[in-house]
Amino acid sequence: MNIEIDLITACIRKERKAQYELYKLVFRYLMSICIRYTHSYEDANEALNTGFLKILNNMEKYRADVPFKAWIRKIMVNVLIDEFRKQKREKENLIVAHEYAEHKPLVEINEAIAKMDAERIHRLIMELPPVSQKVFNLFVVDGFEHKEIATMLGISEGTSKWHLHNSREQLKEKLAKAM
Amino acid sequence: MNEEEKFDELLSSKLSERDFPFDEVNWDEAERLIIKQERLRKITRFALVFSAGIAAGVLIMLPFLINTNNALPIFVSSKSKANQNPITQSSISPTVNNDRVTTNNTINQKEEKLHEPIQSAVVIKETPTHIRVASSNIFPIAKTPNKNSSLSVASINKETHKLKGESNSIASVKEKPIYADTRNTKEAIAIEKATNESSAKPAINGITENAAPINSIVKTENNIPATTTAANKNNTENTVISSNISKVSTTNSTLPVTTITRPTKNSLSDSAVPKPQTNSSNNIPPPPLLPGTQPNYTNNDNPTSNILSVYAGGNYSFGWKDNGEKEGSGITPWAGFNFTHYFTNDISASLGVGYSELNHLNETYTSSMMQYDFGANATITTITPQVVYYIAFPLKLQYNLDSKNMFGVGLDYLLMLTTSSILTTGQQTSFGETTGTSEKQNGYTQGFSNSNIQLTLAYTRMLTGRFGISAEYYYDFDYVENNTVPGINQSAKNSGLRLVLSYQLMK
Repeated sequence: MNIEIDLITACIRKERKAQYELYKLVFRYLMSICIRYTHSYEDANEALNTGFLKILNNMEKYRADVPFKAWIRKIMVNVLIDEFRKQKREKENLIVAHEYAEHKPLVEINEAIAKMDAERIHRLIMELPPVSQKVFNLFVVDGFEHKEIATMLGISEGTSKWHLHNSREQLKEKLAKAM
Repeated sequence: MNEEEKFDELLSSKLSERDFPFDEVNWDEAERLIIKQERLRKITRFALVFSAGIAAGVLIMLPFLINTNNALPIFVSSKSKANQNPITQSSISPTVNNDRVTTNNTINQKEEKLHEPIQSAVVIKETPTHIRVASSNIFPIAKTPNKNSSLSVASINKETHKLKGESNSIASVKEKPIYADTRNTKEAIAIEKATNESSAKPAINGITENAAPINSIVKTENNIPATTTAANKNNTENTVISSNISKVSTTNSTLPVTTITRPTKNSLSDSAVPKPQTNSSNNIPPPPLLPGTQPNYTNNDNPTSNILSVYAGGNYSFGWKDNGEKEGSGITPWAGFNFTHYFTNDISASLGVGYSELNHLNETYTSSMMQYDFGANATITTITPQVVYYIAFPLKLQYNLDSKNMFGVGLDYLLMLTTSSILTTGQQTSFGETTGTSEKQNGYTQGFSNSNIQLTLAYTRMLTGRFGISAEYYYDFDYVENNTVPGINQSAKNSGLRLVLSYQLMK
């Protein structure tokens, strides 16, 4: 994805053709993010369009010293988290103590992951509790720090760490079962 | 890398393997959202400008509205004062300019009180026409004879006589008719005419006249008692003074008072103004108008000759097409001050100074500078003007259909003040890497005409005495963008609609 500065300038001028070109260029990348935070392709598509609109509206604020890809990812994730927070209400804040089953050694699990297809892994992640799933995505895939995640989700840093641990353990269990 | 990190890395890489091909349907949905948002922004902006205009107008107008509401009690207090303190000779003083004395009376021959003094007189301060008209409703006694009212007048006259030393000699008192309300200049001329034609002093004692349809208005002199008239017992039965003047002579001890009611509209034509009908032997001419009590006959309906107004509103620019793309289309503010001069009742001209702007511009100016250092390195600067700010001098010639509706044609001279542009500076290397910054800056006026002239066609409607709204169509005579390439600026002429609220600050 190589975004030309002319394309950004044209988008600032609200040229529809440029907006279309930008949408085509960023679609795959943004969809790969959206699909991880939503339950279906339709939901992901809706979130993507909302995020894209926000990107266009904030295009004037874009500083070229920041990689464009990172900038749009930040906006997209913020949109997804905002949406999640709207839906979440109070039901997801409870931390349920969970007894993790003993699983196979991590080396074996990693070998199994390498052999699995992406779709199956995605489904396993989607089975995680919502907050844990979000923390896992934010930390492992999108590279956010616990401090940032805590702010985004409105939880404490410790809770974020717990959710990450919880999601890892649950994934290991599921992967071990799937092996 | 430990196994935990490897675990994260593997999951992350697996997830990124998934591919989501682009689908045009997705773009259609996104485009629909973009269009919807753009429309919403336009509506919001227009609503804000419109609301700001209305709010400004209301805020400016509010103190004046409050003052206008306070005008009514002046009349009420005047009336009540007159009722509380019945009229006497001394109370009708011409030193109070524009005061009018109207005597409301009805003569009914069946009543013996015809020989009694006439009904009460009421001093009415000069008030707007609508208030004066309303006064006739406030005093229905003028139309229906009332015994009590006659008695009260009798008491007034008794009081008057006491003041005069119980004099029964009416002849010793100068008789002058009381001046009543006049409505326009024609009436005044008629009065003057009638006054000049009669030179004889009015006879008083024993005169009984029939109610004569004279419709004339006679003026009082300073400290002169009102003429008293009486209806003839034989002839004036069931005569009600309505649009008539009747002279009633008191038999003995009452002071003469002329009873006058407001003339009807139909009776006010030049030719139809009859002289006061008087006794053949004792003509009672209306007295001449006195200096100092000259009523103001200026037509209040005439528009004020000079008006200073403040106006605020919005333009909806249609824009123009530039390389197939719409440019300059959108809502912009329009506000300022206006000075209007009325040459006649129908024709007026106005000159103003105000602020305007033009936005939604797409034209981009790019400059690039190449540097060769381990390959080509280009510095590209792109300037995208977004808003052009103008100071406007609107000149308009107006034709007033009536006091509320006006049509106007005019020219607006627009002088560019500055522009607001987005300046994007980027570096492009031969490896395709792009870095740069973009920021907002003012002052890049290159490529725009320094001035412009618009033809305007306007319709104005006055909502209240001072508050008006006008709808205008404007069309640029000159090009907005001053391109040097022949033919390219042919379409860069703007036009649009303008909705303006105005408030007259000073008349």
